[in-house]
Amino acid sequence: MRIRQIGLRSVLHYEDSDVDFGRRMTGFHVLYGPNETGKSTLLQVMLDLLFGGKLEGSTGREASLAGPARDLYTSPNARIVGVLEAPDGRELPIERKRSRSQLILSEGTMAGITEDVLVNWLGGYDRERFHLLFGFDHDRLRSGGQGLLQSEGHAGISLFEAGGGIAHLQRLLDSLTKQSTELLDTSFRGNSRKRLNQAWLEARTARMQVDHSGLRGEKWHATRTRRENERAIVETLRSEREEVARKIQSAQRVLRIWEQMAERKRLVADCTRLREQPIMDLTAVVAIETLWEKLAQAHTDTERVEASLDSLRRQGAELVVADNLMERATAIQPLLDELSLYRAKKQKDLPGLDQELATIGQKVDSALQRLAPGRGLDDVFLWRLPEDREHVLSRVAKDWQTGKVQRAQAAERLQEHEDLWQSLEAQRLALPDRLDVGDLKRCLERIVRHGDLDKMLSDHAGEIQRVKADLDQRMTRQPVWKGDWRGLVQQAWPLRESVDRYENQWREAQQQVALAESAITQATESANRLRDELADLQVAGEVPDETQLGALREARDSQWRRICANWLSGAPLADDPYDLAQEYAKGVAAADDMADRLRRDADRSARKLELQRQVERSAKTLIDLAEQRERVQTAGDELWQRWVREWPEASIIPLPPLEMRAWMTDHVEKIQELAGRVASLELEQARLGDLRMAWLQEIRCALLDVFAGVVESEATGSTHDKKSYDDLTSLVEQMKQVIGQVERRDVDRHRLGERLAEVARDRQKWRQTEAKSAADLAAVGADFAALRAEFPYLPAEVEVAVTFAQSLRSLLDTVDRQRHVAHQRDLLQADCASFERRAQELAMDLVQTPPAPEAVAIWLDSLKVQFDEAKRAASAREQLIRQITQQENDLVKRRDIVASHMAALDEHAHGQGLEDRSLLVSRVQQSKAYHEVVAELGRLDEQIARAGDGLTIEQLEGAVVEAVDVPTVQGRITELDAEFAHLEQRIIEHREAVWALDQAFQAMDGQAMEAADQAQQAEFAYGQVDRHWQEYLRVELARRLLQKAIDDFRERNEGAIIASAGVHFTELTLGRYAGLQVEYEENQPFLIARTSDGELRRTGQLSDGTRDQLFLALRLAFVEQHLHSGEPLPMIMDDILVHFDDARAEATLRILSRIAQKTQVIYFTHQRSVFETAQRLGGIDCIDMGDGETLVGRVRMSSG
Amino acid sequence: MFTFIHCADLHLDSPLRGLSARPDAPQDQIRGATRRALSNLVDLCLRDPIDFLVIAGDVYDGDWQDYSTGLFFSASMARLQSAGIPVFLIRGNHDAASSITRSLVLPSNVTEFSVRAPETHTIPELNVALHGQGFAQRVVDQNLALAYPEALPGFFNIGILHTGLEGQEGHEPYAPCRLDDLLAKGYDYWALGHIHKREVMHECPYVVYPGNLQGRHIRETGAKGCTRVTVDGAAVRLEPVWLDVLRWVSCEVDLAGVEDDLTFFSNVCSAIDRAAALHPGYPLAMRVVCYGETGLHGRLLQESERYTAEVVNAAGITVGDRLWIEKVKWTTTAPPQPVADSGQTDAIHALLETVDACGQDQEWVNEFVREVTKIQTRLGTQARDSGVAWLTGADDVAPLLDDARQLLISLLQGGER
Repeated sequence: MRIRQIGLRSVLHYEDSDVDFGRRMTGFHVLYGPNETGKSTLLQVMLDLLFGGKLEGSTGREASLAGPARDLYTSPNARIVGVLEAPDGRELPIERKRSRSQLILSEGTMAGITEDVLVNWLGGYDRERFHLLFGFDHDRLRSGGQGLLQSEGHAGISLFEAGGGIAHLQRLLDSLTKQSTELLDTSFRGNSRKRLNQAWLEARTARMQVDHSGLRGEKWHATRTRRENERAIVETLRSEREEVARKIQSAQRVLRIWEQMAERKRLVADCTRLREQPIMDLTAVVAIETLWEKLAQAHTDTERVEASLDSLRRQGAELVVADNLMERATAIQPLLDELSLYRAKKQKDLPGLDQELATIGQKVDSALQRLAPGRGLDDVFLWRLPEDREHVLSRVAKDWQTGKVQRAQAAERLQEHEDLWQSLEAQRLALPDRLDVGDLKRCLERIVRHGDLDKMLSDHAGEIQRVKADLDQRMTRQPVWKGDWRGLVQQAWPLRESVDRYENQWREAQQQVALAESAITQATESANRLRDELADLQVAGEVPDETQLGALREARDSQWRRICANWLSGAPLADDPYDLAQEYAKGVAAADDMADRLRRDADRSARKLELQRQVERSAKTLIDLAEQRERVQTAGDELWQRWVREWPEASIIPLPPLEMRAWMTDHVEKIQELAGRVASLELEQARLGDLRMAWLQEIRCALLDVFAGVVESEATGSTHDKKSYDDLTSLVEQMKQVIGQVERRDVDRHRLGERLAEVARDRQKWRQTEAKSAADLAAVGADFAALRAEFPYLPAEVEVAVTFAQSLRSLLDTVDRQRHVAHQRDLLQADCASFERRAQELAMDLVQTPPAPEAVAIWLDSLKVQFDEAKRAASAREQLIRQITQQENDLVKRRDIVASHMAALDEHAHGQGLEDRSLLVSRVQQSKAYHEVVAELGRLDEQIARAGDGLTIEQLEGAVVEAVDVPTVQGRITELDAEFAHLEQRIIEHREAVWALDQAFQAMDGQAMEAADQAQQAEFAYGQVDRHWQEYLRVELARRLLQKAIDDFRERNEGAIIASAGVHFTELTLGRYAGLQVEYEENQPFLIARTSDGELRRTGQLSDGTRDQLFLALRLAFVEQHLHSGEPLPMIMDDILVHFDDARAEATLRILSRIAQKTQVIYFTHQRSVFETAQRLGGIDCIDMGDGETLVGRVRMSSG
Repeated sequence: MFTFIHCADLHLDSPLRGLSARPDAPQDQIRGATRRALSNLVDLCLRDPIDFLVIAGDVYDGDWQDYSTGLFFSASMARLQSAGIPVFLIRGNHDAASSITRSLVLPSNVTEFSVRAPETHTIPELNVALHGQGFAQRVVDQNLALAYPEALPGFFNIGILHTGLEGQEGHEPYAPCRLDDLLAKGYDYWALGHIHKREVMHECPYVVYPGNLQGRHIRETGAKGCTRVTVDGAAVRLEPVWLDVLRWVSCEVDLAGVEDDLTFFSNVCSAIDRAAALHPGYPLAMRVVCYGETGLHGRLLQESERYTAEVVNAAGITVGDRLWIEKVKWTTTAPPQPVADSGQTDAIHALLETVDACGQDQEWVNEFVREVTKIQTRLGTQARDSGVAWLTGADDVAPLLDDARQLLISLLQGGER
């Protein structure tokens, strides 16, 4: 499949833009465009066209890769259109549009084509995988290079990364391994800190705690048994203690009742003596004594009543009563009761009614005069309006009044609307004509959408200045280049590979020199150490050696030879024979001594000999090393000379390769990048300048068109002078002002029109209202006319007629009231006359002169005084009579009581056989003494019983008799107390034991939950174990699968891919590397680059750029492999050659050209040099997105 | 008319399983849950007085040795004794294995049926006859019901039996019997125990499993408690009464079509709200199972910790303190990928092939299982019994392979973590 055409419709600010890739099935298309030409947008849209999907929330790069960017498709008309072409020539038009948050296939897509069908055209890949496999950009290239470094070129990982377009696989694998190992230590060491192990250990610990915390049944039963035993002991001791207590109590009781028993004995004797005489029972004694007391009291009462009766009789004789008045009380009392009422009627009510009658009469006369002058009341009474008609009149009057008000209001509002309409119409007629600012607006929208051009220019200028300043600063900071940055940028620098090579050689040379120096130092130190050791050996005493022994033996043998010569041949001796013998003997002794020392110091001697030999070897080694150092230094000097020749002679003082490399990385590359940035900015600055000039011209034309017929601005009042249209910003502001004014004016006009229509509608409405009010009023007038026909005396005006009717009603009501008051006054006068007549008749009955009517009240006041006095005296007399009668009755009763008491006493005396009641006294006294002794004896028995602990008197007497010797009882009590205390102490001790056992037993009441809590804690921990275990299984399985997939993939692809990638790599590195191969280290396969001179290098030994090229070579090899086995799919590349030098960029373009023979390659770049190289190479479809003039029909990227 | 309560499977002091301790855990609700459920039962008996209580076995956990548990049960029965409520009890398989049962003396109101032969106890004033036999040892494989006596004429006959009735899965088939065996006895009510889920197996006469008093793990979801039985002449009326103090709930969240975190959160909140609303006021231990075909599948696997935290957060916002997320399970699937072109040779395609090949390579799977089994052996059977995921064979590897496949795809296409 290839992309044949792609188009943007209302996407971002591209109204209608297209790119046509032509009809060739394959092809290499390089799309060049500086910034802002829509290159990135086109790249994004290309993927969106193919895959659609859910819109992401940002237009950032990351979001773009993940899915369609929401911000691109904000317009409701946004569409992406395109034509795909199958290898067999079939064409597939597709179109996508935004639907909610999705980018979906729309109506422009060929019928029957769904996403599923489209996926088949895309080889079954989804967006992510397509982008991983067929999308190339610089960042991914760098990530690939870094991945090679991270995995140290592990063949499996490197191939897998390149084969899937995946980054940082090694880190991913390490991350899975780390996760797995951090979760679980499979050896389950006790002190493991792994999460799963810790949770597991916690669970086990808690489980073990369960057994320790739990209560055993045996323990519970044993505790209970011990507690019961202790309780039984306590019970036994308590019984013993009770027995002792009982004995103590008995002894103490004897001591308590001893004296009381003696007293009792005496009382019993007195009792026996008194019973020798006849004894009256106690009831009789009490009765007789009571009778004596009552008799005495009866005598006293009789005397007191007699005295009181005499006093009352004297008071009755002294009292006087007016009986004539009391006999007429029934006539007097009603008059006195009515007197106050009579006085009120006479003095207040009658004069009030007279006054009211006079006032009403005046009112009636006045009203009559006003309503019906010259007419009498009788005539007026005939005018009375029936009630229903009067209501009709009231309603008519009310309607008349309301109708009048409504009509007035309607007329007033109508006039207001008439005035308002006139005013608005005048305003409308005064408005100026409408201006067309459509062109001006479109022009402004385009400028605004593009952004602030002046600011962009200013920003660009500032950015250029800033970058140049940065460049100057960098130039001053760098120590190597002596010229300016432009010279540095134009300078051809050694390739990075060359620097790398020199760096390696220089490093090796330096290492060799250092090694030589180090070897010399070590050899010197070794020689010194040997010499020191030799010296140390000598310090302990001279070490003999074979040489010395040989010398001594030689001396001895010489002397011996002289002696032998003398002895055998008679050779003369030069010196004294004795001395010779002495010397010989010394020589023999010295040799023997030396031989002995050699034997004794054989080890030291051998060591000395060894050290001497080592010293000799060290000296020789030092000489060799010095020669070697000389050679290495010479080679280094030669290398340096070659290195210096690599650099331009002028303006530079080369440093060692490593520093030069650092200089190039830290300074040259940055300076080149900044210089490139300056160039790019300057180019953009020029483009923006041109655009600004074009816009200025366009705005001038548009403004002049608008103001062709208008001189004055209505809003600002300023004059638009075309000479002032040189500043784009102020022009834009002017445009905005003008457009704003015109639009505001249009809005005002529109609003005025709406207002006029509204006022006209209201005016019509009020006209109708006014007419209706007039009609209503006329109808009410007709009703009133009918009423007047019925009652012709009504006035002609409605309001007056209503007032007349109300006044007439009021007059008639007043006359009614006048008649009612007159009747009331007559009744009152009659009542008063009747009262006065009754008073005069009473006076005559009392034989007094009758009072005149006016004096009746005074006469009655006097009579009331007399009558009250008479009533008081009569009452006192009746009270006195009742008291005397009562006293007389009382006296009779008391005399009867005295007689009765005396008779009773006499009867008692006879009952006791006594003749006279006076003898009864001594008999009563004797009986009373006897009863007192008996009572005393009873009380004593009670005391003894209380002190006797419930025993009977007989038992207590027995106890006292038993205790023969009372004083010894106290001693016995003391002994028993001691025994009691001992038992008490034992009980306390055993009760404490019981208490302790109770406590222990109660603690085992089943409420304890420690074991259950521990078991729950264990379950919590096992819950954690489960979580970690599942995570471990998932991660560990994923890790193993990934590892296996990596190994399988390597085995499957190693041969072909390495070979193919090796070819690309050689070409990309311009032949510096001859190919790739796989080498094993400790059973691990590693990717090795082979240099042109046969040297093998690991990925870590390659420069960053070379590693990037290696990754690119591998990726391209996989793409080629795909083309062998699957349908071709377009490769989309975004400026992957940014950091490639021209030669390598050209090599890459050549490779891509070859691949483009089999599949479509679309390469986006903003690098002019890449574009020019592509043009130069030929056979590449070069599309300049910023040059629409020469590519009409191919690319048309135009802003709306 | 009389009323009795039928309960079973108290499993006192048995811990709640499968919960991870977290600072926000309602530990007060968890600890002693089974005891508090029993207290609720006793409170119920005292609040609405009943005529007697029937416990159909498994008061304790078999291997539980803390005598305090027995004492607590005894004290609870003593509370019923003070209210004059008799209790009829049989031993279940767990009680038979329990050391507590052997030495604990229960209050006099508790009548424990013989474990040697079926017994009958009557309550003459109610005309009730109770027939039952307990477990003598943990494993009883004969049909005890067959030896139960015939129904006493004129009495309301209740059979008490701890049994794995035929057809009840998920429990050991102890004292197996068939429903027909029970019905043949002519009893008026069969009070069964052993199955922890409440179930009425038959009506007229009623054959009832009341379920356990308190759910102990996520397989024992929903309301738990006892059955109150009211007998009025020939009419028998059942009423379940819930006594649990912490309820296990499973909440399924449909993530089908969900593509972003906001919708994910919204769906989770809604599902949790719905599930929790079924148990108003109850403390809940909820397992959230997310399922459905979703574009988030890869991220859910890759960032499962983060998404789990999101679920916990959603629970807190939606329901509050009374809800505790026991576990979040991800059973989602990825949307179907485009049909792979047979010509694909790239590394990701190779990875998918490798995963498929490993899944079909019995030797490879077995080797993995062997290695995992070694580790599981070190973890111990206690871990397995406590609900730790256990790999028992090759069949268990298949879902893990799916997860691993999706995790790797997500990692490789999404870049490093």
